[in-house]
Amino acid sequence: MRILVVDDQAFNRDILSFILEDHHHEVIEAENGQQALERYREDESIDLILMDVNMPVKDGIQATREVKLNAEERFVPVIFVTALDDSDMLARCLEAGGDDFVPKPVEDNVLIAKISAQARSQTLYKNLKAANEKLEYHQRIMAREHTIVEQVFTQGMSRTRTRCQNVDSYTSPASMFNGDLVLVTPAPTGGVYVLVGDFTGHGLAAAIGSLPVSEIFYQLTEQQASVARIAEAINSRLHELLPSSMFFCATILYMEKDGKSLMFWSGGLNDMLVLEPGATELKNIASAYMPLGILAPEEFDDRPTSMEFKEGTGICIYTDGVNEAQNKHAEEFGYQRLYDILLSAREDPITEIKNAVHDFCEGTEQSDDISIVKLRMSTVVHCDKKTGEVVDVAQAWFGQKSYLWEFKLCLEDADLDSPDIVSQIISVVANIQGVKAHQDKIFTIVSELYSNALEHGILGLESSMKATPDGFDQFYRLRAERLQNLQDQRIELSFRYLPETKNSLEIIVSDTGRGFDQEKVMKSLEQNEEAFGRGLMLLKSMCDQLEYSQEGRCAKVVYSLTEH
Amino acid sequence: MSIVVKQDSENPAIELGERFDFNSVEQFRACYESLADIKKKTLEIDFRNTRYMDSSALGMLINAKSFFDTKNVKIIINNANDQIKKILVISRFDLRFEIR
Repeated sequence: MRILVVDDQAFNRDILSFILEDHHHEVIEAENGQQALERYREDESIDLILMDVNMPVKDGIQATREVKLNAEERFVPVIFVTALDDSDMLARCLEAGGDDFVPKPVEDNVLIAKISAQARSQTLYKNLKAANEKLEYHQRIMAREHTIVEQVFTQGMSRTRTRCQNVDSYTSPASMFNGDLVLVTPAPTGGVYVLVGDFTGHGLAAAIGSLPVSEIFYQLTEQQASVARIAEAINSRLHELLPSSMFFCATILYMEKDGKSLMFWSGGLNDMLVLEPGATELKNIASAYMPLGILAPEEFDDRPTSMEFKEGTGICIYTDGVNEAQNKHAEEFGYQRLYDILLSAREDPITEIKNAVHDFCEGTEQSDDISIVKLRMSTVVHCDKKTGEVVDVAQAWFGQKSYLWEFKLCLEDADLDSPDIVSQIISVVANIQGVKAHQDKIFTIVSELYSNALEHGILGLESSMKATPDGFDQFYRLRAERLQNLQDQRIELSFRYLPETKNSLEIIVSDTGRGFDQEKVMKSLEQNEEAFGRGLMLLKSMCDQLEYSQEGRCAKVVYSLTEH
Repeated sequence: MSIVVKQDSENPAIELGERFDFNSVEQFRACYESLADIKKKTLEIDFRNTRYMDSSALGMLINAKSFFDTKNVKIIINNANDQIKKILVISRFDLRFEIR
């Protein structure tokens, strides 16, 4: 060790140096407290100080006090070398930060033993300090990463610009991240989708699964997908991603725009609680299935339940953080307290439940995430998150304005046989602004127009063939056959945006076939509703206008992009 | 995506592909005929994956219905999205099929 010996008597310094050097320690000397401090500050490698008490300029006690000022940064033990008969003085030495005493006159073995003891605790101190530094370093990195990830999560989870007035929700993170997930998004047709879920565990490990879940949820809801499809897609993805010990309890539901019926799938989550207006007790709807992420896709049962409710019915969905919240006596919040609050039917049950759980747990640390969602069955209303104004979601989605455009193409002979030609055309047209939301219906319309032109116009097939199942098959077999022998036959399709006639799309399909007596067909359509003729009926009801010209060889429809 | 028959489960079902149109005529018929002997009195036609359909799809459904009517099996149309439902309603299919 490198030891600083502080004594105003050269004789004493010599004795101590002699003993220490004899035991292979390095010695530096100082003649008083002031000099000791200078040595201590300029020499970082000093490991220990042997300090006399009474010295001129600055005594040992004051010098020790100053050495110990930054003991957290640099820990150097101070051993006082002094007579042990003055207890007041000993107390002052300890108070100043002294670590030990060596009695005068100094004995070799006592001095060396005490130095060894200090060396041991100093080693411990150094290890601890190194470990602490490492820990702090990692903590800083983690805090930085958390900030980044938190931002990703926040943006990932809340993509909608509207807030649904029928849904109130609260979700509290037990730690920085949330194992609970509450997603609410408007359906393109004006209804609302809600997902309430709880991953096993909480914190980052639990929260990580919420990213794929929200991706799937937002992607499918935008397509107006069924609850079953959403449940199945999330299950497959989580089954693929999560370790087997992790899964996702969830309720996924869809409320139609009229606010009367609810379609839901629920796996592993608490019962949904239903409170009809004026009722004095709650109805429980239990989860029908296992949580998401456990079963392989082929074992998974995604059949949702559909139910109708009275106007004004309240439906509460909550995660187990509510009922399992514990107070300091390890007693659980339980269900009854929750039911009581819901039944007392006050203005804002969510805040009341939240506060009740908080009061109940007073003084204990929240151990799990808490989420509560309350739905109100009535016409679904969406509001702008910023301005609070009511937004007609369906209108905003379906009624986007387009710009002036026109698109034409002509298919000939062999090209007419392409089985997915309509899909191909629609995927081009659908990408034009204002059209996307209507692509499903436009597909149906163009399919009808195209099939009519091809099957009746060009191939000369009779709809009446389709009256029996066998005829139906025969029809499509003949269709395939005749398509092989086409010569100089064409179908032209033209799409045009009509801004002047209230945001519509004009579609014209004409063919080089023999045409048909369209008046007769239209008339028979009125009476007939069997397996043929339905195409025209569909066209009529989906379009504002349907006109045939050129003896049935040219069909024109106008489809409103404002209605839906 | 093509049509999948789910025969093993308790509830026999036919799950349709993304497009249910004239390209599916033969396959759809083969699918429902393979279910001729089901014990259950309902057959589910699952539209979960279906985004597009045309009027030949309506014809196929009618054919399937007449096929099963003689066997007293009821056809249930399940998981159709709002657009598809609208088409089914326009065609008054809601009167002849149970649409869930």
